[in-house]
Amino acid sequence: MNQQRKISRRALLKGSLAAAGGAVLAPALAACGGEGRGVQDGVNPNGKIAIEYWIGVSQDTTTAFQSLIDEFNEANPNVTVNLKSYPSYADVAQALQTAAAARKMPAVVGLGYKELRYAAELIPHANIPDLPGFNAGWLEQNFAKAILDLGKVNGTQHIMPFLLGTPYLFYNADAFEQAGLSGPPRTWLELRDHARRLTDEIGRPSFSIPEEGYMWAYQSFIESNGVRLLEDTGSGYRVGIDGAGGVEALQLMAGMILEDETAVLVDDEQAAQSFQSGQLPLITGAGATVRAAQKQGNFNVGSAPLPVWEGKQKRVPVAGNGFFVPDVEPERQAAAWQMIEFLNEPETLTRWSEATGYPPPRSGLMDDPQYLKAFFDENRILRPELEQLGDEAVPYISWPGENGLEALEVLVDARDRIITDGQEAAPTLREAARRAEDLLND
Amino acid sequence: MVATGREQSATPTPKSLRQATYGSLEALSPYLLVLPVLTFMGLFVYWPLVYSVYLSTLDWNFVSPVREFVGLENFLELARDEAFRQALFNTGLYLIVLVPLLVLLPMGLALLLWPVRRSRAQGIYRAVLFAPTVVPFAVAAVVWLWIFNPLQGILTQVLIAAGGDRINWLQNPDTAFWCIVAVAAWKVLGFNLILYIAALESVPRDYLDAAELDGAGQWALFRYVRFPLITPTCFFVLVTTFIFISDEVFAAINVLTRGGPFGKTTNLLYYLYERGFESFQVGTASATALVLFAAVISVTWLQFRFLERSVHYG
Repeated sequence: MNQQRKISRRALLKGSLAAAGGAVLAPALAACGGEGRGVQDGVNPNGKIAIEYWIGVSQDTTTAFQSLIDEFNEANPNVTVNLKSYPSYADVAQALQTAAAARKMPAVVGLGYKELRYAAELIPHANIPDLPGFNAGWLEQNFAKAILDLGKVNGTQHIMPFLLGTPYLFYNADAFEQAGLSGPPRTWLELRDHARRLTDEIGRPSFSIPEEGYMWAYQSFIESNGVRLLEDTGSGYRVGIDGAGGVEALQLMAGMILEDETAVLVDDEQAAQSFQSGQLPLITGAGATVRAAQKQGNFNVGSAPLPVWEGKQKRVPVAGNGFFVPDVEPERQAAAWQMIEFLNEPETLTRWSEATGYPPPRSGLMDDPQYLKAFFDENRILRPELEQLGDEAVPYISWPGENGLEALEVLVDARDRIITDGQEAAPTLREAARRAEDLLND
Repeated sequence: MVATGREQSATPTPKSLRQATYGSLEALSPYLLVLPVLTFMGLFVYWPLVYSVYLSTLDWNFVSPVREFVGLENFLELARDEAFRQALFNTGLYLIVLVPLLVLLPMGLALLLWPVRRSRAQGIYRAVLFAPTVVPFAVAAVVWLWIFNPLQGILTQVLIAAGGDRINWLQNPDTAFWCIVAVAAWKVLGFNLILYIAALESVPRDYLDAAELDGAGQWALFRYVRFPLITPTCFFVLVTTFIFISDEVFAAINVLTRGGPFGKTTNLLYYLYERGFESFQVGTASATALVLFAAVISVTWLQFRFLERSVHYG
């Protein structure tokens, strides 16, 4: 009996050791198997270079990117670009931070302009002019200063701008007609009147700037009234939202939401649901919203530039993303620049704009009959975005330092307290501006 | 001299050496069997905890080569931060509202479903009530945003049909908190319900029959037979709901309100996420994590110390 028990324990022990050994070896064996792509990320022994390109855009835009990347891979047998998609720019930034901490960064990232300062200050990277193969003349000849400035911090080109978007007005043209409105509003005060007439017609709020938790169209709304949300004075940062223009702007919005009940603050998703179903006839947004509404075909969709404050210089923040090249081996950086050059060729940009509706970053293509003139003439609904990329274009604020997002949060909270909770604008904004400055200058 | 058979030979024989080796290995075998689990827990549970203590003393962003030691400054900064105090307050409020709700309501539902446990409808009820547990939040978010849509959502339509005023559910500071409570409860209810149903089914039929023979009514059956025997499950539900409800609240906050309006819905976990993963303030986030850990472990200890004595383990 004892002999039998010893034998079964022996067998159990052998089995346990085998299982423990397998548990240790299995991950190592799996790793040896590789990812099955045939080309490892980096410089391969056969000379082929593989790089990853990280982006955080919508599904439609990702599809457009993938199509262009496939063309590049076919045309460049020595380089393979693998596109890696994330849900948003913020997710890309988080992943990049993690990759930087692990010292395993991709060769090129589609970094949002809002994340520019954080990446420029914190992530080891190559400035665009330092990339292998870079041609300064090509850049200056083909890209407008205002576009290049989107990727600069203190004069240094950290990002090569690519995807450009400005917020503009979208409206339900059929609802406008029913309310007796001949066209979109030109000024913010006209917009208030338009919203009243629409609400009288439909019996519910008719306008929204759907920016819960951030300020994009709101940056234009406030800064176009003569204030600057953020200024670098040289000796520190100054937050100017509490200026007379900021107070007036938010008082107007509070009046629309709380007194007139013609406007409402909702989430992006809720605004898209309501606009596309015809429930909310006037919103601000990006091109993706209008394209989705057009696809549904429930009503005629109109577009217009953001309104102005009478007699004041309009400012429209340009959002989107550009190419950011982390500090990796020179061979991968060279491959990244090769891809960037390909994507900025006129023919490639033409296919890009036609697929996505986004304007090309390169000068001269939109009005060139050989490239995009016919497309943008035919798609007049996209024209407001192009018009706003001229003198009115300014960078979308990239809040600096490790407290930058917290400072933005303070301003957004103040905005929400005023427009949804009815708190007094001037003292609320004054306190918020000082708190934000303390955070930024900490 | 009598041979006892126990004399050791001058040099160990191959057989005795083999036996000694196997003896040592047999003594080690329990430890080898638990080694993989201990290694996993050490790497993914205990080491991060220890490392968090270290990180909480730094001013660092995970990337910069400079790690500045600041001692307890991060904890002092939390105490001074109004947003942290708001998150702490909200966390307490969520626990006070959700823990009793998610301990008692599923129990009540389980008792209501008990009479239909043998019918075909039982499977449908269980599937419907358990479905939220397995639906990913990212998918459910789109539906919830529609439900709470102040222009066309179902809640708004019902309210207006009843003669009420339109409410911006997620932007109104008076309603946003309760929307998060509702969504978190919706997510967890089914899981706790299934636990209670299983516990009720495990009550021996003999006890119930004996009590019924003695003239016990439904309430007496529950009070004196069923409830005592399901107290282990009740205790488990209480402890696990308390520990894990913050995760569900975080998920609801992340998809619906992002902590707003003006911090009215944020909790400690969301505050930690914002500081750690959006602003990359590793020290502040780690300090927050330790505060949360201390709070959870303290309350869990209190639960075991004072409530477990009431649990009837049979």
